[in-house]
Amino acid sequence: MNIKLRYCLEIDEKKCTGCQACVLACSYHHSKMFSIENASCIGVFRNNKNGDIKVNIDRSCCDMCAQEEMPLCIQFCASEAIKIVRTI
Amino acid sequence: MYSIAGKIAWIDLSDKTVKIESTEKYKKFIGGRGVGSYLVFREVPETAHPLSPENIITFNTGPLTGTLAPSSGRINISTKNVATHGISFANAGGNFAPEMKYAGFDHLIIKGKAEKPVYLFIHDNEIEIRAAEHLWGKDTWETEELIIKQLADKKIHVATIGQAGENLVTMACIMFDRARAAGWGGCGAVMGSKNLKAVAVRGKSSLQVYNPEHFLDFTKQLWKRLLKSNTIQLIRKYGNLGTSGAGGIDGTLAQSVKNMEDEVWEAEKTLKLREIIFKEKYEVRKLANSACPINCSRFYHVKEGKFAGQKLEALKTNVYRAFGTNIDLPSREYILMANEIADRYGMNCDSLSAVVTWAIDIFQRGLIGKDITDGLDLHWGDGDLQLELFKLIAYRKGFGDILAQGVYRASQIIGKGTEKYAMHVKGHGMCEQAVRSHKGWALGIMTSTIGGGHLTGAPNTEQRRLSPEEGIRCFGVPTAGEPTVYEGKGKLVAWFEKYKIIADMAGLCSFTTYWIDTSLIGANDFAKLISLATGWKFEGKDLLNIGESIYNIEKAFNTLHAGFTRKDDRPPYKLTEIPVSSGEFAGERLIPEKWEKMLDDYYIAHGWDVATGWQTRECLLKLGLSNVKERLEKAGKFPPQKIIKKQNKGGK
Repeated sequence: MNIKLRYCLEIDEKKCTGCQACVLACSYHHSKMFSIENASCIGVFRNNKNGDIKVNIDRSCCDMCAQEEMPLCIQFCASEAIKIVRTI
Repeated sequence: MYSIAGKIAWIDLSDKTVKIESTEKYKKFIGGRGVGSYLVFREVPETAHPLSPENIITFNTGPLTGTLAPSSGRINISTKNVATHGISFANAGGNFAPEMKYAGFDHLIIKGKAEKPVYLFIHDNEIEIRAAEHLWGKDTWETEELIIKQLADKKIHVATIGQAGENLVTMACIMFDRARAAGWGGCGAVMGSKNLKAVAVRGKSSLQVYNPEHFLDFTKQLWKRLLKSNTIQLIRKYGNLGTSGAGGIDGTLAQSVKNMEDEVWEAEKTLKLREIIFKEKYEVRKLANSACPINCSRFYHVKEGKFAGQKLEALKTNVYRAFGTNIDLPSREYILMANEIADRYGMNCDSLSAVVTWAIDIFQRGLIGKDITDGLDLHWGDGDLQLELFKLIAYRKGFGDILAQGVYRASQIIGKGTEKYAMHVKGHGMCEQAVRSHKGWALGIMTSTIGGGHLTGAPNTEQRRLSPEEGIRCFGVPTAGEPTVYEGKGKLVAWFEKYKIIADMAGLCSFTTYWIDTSLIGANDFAKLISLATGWKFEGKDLLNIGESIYNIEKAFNTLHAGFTRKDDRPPYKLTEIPVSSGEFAGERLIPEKWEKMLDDYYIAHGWDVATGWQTRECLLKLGLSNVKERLEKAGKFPPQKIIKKQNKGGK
């Protein structure tokens, strides 16, 4: 069974600092370029008025960084807000 | 063309024109502060007042901005300094800089003056000059909100001035993403003088680096190195306040107290402001710059007391000093509110504190009375008074109009012996800790090209008590970690002045550098990062040379525009005459004779003239700065040449 079907990424928004390194890492994985808009499965939205942070992961495009020992977003998340969870 | 957007936009607000130039043309200045300082030197005539249309203001990113290089969200602002009339650069975090690059521009160079208030909207390789009359008079938070609402895109990042910038207040700053300030040099007033209320950016393009795989591998290594550092771990845990330990575990760390009268604050006051209390009482979450593993920022929610309901991103150590210790105010709530009000009006905390606490100081000494202060009774430790003075300054009302000119000019206006209590460097307000006891730290602040500040050449090695072995390994200075020792500090500061520019050119935060921990990113690491990102070939020594060149360009600008000489590198009265009252550094002050010797060493380390403090022809030619040499030559700003008499050999 494909790893993508058994596992997925989960983000703890309380731990997230909004730095968007995961977004850049994801765009790098998919395009070998850095972008917060293109080629990334992750979107981080900061509300500077009330301190809220929302993180969206598009699971349809996330391949858990096949070929990497660990998804790049996890490798670049200093606050350890991203983890791998079993889906089934 | 790798890791840069490739374009510089020259925006003339007088005739509403935009010209595009290639960024590659300036690659020998790398980016950021390098390009900013060079262009201010090249473009601004000596006759130009900082608040005239002839002055320029630059928004600069670096080649690492917008990549995964650690803490690469910094923006540089360069302009002619409103307080000193020399050079100014300021640096802010947030997400504005990467967004500007994704929008297609590495640098914005803004000159002229708009007929009516405008703001710029930079997006998708386009620059729009939009009407901002509806924004004029609004504070920075309101302005950001209105622009985002008008442009209907929540991903927009905004740099804006508040009322202080509009009213040409000398200490006006530019606020980015609501809470991040480019504070120095009155850059907010320069924007105000151009009728430029804000710059909004939105970018959707991608950045490609030259060698993606090696760049990513090296970036991963650097992230790990940062996270391993004890200093970084402290900042990650306690935020920016962790850098000073906010008084230390027992409340004994040096502070700036009562207009820098002393460096020791009563422990019971300090302990009220411990970082752990801010963390436990107010912290909602940790926040970080773009691609930053350090997360020095915090979001606070005040739930009780007079200001219950307050929500804001805060609190930098500078702010804690400026609005807390320096005005003798041990109130967390009032410090956080002062933080908010200064952010909203758009005023720099250091220079604002310098002028506010000077006013209280001279009132308390009886040098001025209520006739000068419009009936205000100025005394220490009054949170409401502080907020009232901020308002009077931002709107230039009554006594506030004098204070709005900054501590140096205000003291010149009032006179009566108040001048010697004005805490300034080259005319720019100052609020610093540990400047009597930490000699290299003090030297770096006094010689800074922008008129003070500890982010130019002041070494943090003394605070960290760097070992002699590490001091020799990194700087060739065994005393680098000994605070009270003068010897070796001239060489150390000169080294930091050229090295710190590398981070400012590349676009990284100072917290990633040797400035905070010598296990972090050194010159060779920067060279590797920049080379892998851009394909330009640099070694560490090349970058240090470029740093030295930029510092010399800034220094020459100061000589030409502000006429600074050796006397301007000396500390103000209080630091030489009023010693530290107690504690570990009791009795410490800056002893003038020792200071002069340290200055000699500093000038020699830079290759400058010891007698005048000016640059030498030889030094500039060695750096390949013949154009700078010509400008100084024309202005007669070189030390007199020594006449070497030929001696007859043999003969009579």
